[in-house]
Formats: sequence, C-alpha cells, structure tokens
Amino acid sequence: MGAGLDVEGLYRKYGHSVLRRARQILASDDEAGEILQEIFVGLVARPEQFEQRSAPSTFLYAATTNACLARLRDRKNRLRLIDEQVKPWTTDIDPRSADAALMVRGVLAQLSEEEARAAVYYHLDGMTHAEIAEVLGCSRRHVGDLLERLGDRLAARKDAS
Amino acid sequence: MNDHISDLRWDRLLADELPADQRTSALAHADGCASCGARYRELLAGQGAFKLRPVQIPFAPRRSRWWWSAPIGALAAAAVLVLVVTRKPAEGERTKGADKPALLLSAGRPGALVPMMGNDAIHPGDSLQAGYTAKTDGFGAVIALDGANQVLTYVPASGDAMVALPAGTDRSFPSSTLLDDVLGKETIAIVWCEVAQPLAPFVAELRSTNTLADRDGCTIRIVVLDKAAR
Repeated sequence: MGAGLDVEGLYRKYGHSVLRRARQILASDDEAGEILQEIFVGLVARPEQFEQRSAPSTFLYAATTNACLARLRDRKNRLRLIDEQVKPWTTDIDPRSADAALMVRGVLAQLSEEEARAAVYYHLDGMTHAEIAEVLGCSRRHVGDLLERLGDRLAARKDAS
Repeated sequence: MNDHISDLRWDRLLADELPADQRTSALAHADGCASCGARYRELLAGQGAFKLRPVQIPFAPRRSRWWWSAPIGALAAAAVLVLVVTRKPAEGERTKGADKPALLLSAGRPGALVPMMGNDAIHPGDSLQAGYTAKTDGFGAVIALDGANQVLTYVPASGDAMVALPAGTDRSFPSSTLLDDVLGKETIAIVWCEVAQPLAPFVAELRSTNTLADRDGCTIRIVVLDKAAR
C-alpha cells in the first residue's frame, strides 16, 4: 500500500488540521510547523505508512497526536512541563475550553502513552468515545476505562500536590 | 460526554469525507448551537489561513512545489512586473493573443526571483513562478519541456485539469516549482484560457513540436531558458 499516494493532495486537504492540532497540543507555533513538516515529509519518504485502511483524517489525527506526544516526551520538554504548575483537575469541564486545553497540555508528558492519546482526543479535540475508539483502534468500553483511569490518576495528582 | 460536534467531525466535513446526510446534520446542529457554530467558523477560517502559508515540502522526487496565496504571490509577481515592463521580449520568446492577459515568468533563488525572458539563465535549485494580470477569471497551466526532452507539468501540481485563475493584477499561479538538475534548454509554456481545458493535448503538442500553437480563447507565452550548473 502507499504506492501512488497523493501526499500533495493530503497536504492541501488536511494540512490545516494537522497544524492546528499540533498547535493545540504543543502550544507552540514553531513546533507545530515542524510537526507539519515532519509528518508530510515522512509521508513523501514512506507513503506505505498510510495503509489507506482508514480515512485520511483518522490516520492524520493519530499521526499528529503521536508525533506531538513524542516531542513532549523528549527530555527538554519534559523538564519544561514538570516545572509548570498543573491546575486542579475537574472532570465536568467543557472539553474545548481554554482551561481544559492548558490543563491537559500540562500533564501530557507525565501520562502513559495511551492515556495521553485519550486525553488529547477527549479534552483537546472534544471527540466522543466512539470517535476516540476509531482513532485508537480499540473498543468504546476500553476508551471509557482509559478516561476513567485518566481521571483517577489526575485526581490523585491533585491530592498529592 | 458532550453534545457538541468534535473537531474530527468538522475536519471530516471540511475534507469532504462526511456523507451528505451527516454533513447536513452537522451544519444544522451548528446553526442552533452557538459553540459549535463558532468552532466551525473558526476551523473554516483556519483552513483558509492555511492556504496562505508557504510550504516547502519535496512532494515529488524530481520537482518540488509549494503553494502560496495570491496576495503573497502577488508581491513577488508585482516586483517581477515592474522589471518586466522595462524589458522587451527577447528572441526565442513569443506571447500569443493580443490584448489578452499578460503572463509573467520569474525564477531565481527562492525568495529572490527575477523576471525571465528568452535565453535567460536558470540553475538547478532555482524556483520558478508564473504570474499574470487578467481582467476576467480564467484557467491556466505551466508546462515545461526540459533538457532531457521530458515534458513536466509544473502547474497544476497534480491532475489533468487547469487551475482556476481569478481575475486580478499581478497575481501568481498557485504553485511554484523548484528546478531539478537536468541541464540544457528548458521551454516553459505558460497557458491562460477562458475556459478550463484538459492538459493532455498541450503536453502532447509541446513534446512533439517543442512549442504550442495558438488556440482560440487562450493566451500562451513561451519562454526558452538555459539551465546551466551554478
């Protein structure tokens, strides 16, 4: 798969979404631009990574999230984030509010890979459980479990702080 | 967890991935939900703003292109026009179609383009940008015959359809091309037509005759450049 992939077409159609989400997750225009470049240059070099078994939007959502989380997990960013104060966590916030975005960004680097992805999709993208399940490739029940565990972990962090 | 429409759904709508019924449903929801309506407009604006963003990604193995907006491209084209009007067409160059749109060609190091006339020198790694001034909306393409006798379509970036060129002064074609390392004479054909036409006949003609004949409803500019090692 991947042969004949129209990367230019994907870029024109989905590039804005990749850039916007990278900005949301990383809170940095410069780094978001680098993620955009990284993802599409990667597709030019290795088109087979998009197996075209899912919609392009699904693939690019996952690719963007993974690339951003990887970046957040590098040492420099981890140290920066650890120094930031994590705001008190609540679970009944508007998932798309600025407060939620700030809060989620603040803790992403300290969550497990799967929890971090779920947190991004739920709190930054405002996805439903069904949509998260689709992008993560798991069941809705598992998404519910993940988000519940995420809430517990964050509540524990709040209590400890 | 919420009754709002997710960004994923909006992105799918903007990318024409959503089936018609879901699209209608989402837009109807946005009409009655201030939050979702605002978010949709925000994402729509973001999509529009993205088109203004210059991009340098080597999409094709031999040629890379990037897009910029007409207003941004116009800055380069405007600079080109100022210089072009001081120069007369050189031998080996012709512009067809009197009183038709003015077609411009510039090339050079990215960010430092200069107007091109017949027999001007270009180099591998230079970028090449076509521009135009037209009183009416039209459609266009940029096709090249390189030193290896290969015909390459620079604009559109893909497909066999001419790109839409809105009427305006000193506007740029929607993509620019980074030149490869094939040296020799390179014939550039800039085509503007009143109605969109398939590119295949233009490509075939350029390959077989090294030029393009006049066509009703079209303005064509042929510029032969000399690509040499820097």
